Amino acid sequence: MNTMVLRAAALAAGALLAVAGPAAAHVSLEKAEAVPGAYMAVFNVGHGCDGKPTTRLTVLVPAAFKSVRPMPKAGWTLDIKKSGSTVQEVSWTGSLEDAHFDQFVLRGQIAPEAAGKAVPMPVIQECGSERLAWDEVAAPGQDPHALKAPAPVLRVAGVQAPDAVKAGDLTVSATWARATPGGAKVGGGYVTIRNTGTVEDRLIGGTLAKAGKLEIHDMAVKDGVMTMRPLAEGVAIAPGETVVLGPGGKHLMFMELKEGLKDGETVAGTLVFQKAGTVAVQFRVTGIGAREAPGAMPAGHKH
Amino acid sequence: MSFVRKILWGLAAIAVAGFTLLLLFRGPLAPPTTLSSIGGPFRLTTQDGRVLSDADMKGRPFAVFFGYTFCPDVCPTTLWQLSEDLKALGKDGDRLGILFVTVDPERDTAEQLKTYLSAFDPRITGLTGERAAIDQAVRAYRVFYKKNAPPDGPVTFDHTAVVMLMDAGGRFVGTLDPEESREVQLKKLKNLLARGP
Repeated sequence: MNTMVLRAAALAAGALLAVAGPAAAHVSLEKAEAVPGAYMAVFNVGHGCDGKPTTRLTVLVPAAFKSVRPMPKAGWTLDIKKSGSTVQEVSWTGSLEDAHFDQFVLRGQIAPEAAGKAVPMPVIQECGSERLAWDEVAAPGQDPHALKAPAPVLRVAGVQAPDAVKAGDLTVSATWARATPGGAKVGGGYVTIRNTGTVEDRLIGGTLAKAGKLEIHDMAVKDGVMTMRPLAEGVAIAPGETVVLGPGGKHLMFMELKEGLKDGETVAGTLVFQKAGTVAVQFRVTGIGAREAPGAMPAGHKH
Repeated sequence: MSFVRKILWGLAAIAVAGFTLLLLFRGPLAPPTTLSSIGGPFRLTTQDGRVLSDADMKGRPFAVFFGYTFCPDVCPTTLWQLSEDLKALGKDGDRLGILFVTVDPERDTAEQLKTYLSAFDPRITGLTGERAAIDQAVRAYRVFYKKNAPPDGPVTFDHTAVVMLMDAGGRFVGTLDPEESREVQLKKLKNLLARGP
């Protein structure tokens, strides 16, 4: 029962992420996932209001988006509404045909306290006298798809939080990956799994949003020779044990990468267990040469 | 009993005499073959499409290792570490050659190597070529590789992951171990640069 609830929660989290992607007919964010720190909000405007051209676009800047600087656009007038030095609203006034597409850009800083939260960024679209407010936010438990005019939502990943996910008797934590060099078709992913139950479970597969395929591999260096083999049976997690998939040993192998993994980003994925089922996870991407999960302070120093 | 003993002593004497003669005629025992036989001729293509051979490395100390870009762990890690080492060496690093030879030339074209290596120090040279040319380098450096092509999985390679250090005279002087500390690696590279030709 408990497992079911958690799995449902994991699925719901996944669904929420899916919605963060651009919906064709709405004002959306080009990049709807970020970590605290520098962020460039690119708003996609794909259509006017019922066929009429867009004449004004206003972003209601959320409190968590600080030190905001708008990017001017040729042919558009900028208006900035401030309270003290804090930018509260940014408007572009101009004209955009209904059949055309355009982007409006703000640059700023995502506050650290937004980590792990969803930050709505409401937008008001005006077409002459007509006004469309993209400001609806799904209530807890509400399907965001049901909203008529949803606000673009930025999902901010936790940085310090040890992103542990519970699935039945398993605790999945420290899901991370290394950034990949250009042109790399593969990458390595790592995770720590703890089994607090009384029966063995088994990690048998998974997915990564940026990869065509995910396999579980074992790597070893013996007498200076590196070998790598797929683990067809997956990885057993015995009751009471903690299994660490890490560099230089058992790891998740991301294959057919559609684009490179970049240092600092977070990529959604899943891990599939024989008993606990599918668990939604977030892989935090760190530097190419990292030996440990981001946030885990290495004993030595870091260059 | 004593007769047998005499024969054995006789045989021993003959063996010693024979061995002495052998030494006299052949000179001292040949040095261990492992060190002097690492390194040798190769002729490969860089990520920029240039031909690079062992002759081009004459008079220049270098580090060489074998790998492939379809390798998620040890190859990028080694390249990253060598990039960090080069950064730490600064201008001195310009004198050091770093060669990354692919054992997967079918997938690792010069173009693929160029894209891949753009993430690392530009002083690192990627090398590819025809399979026969790769095998020549593999033999020269006494490394090992084996292609694995499972029916339902991706092609991977087992390969020697050791970084070999060669001095300006083309002599093998040691290796870098991925497990040793950064400081030790850097010291080894500095020693290599300090050696005369």
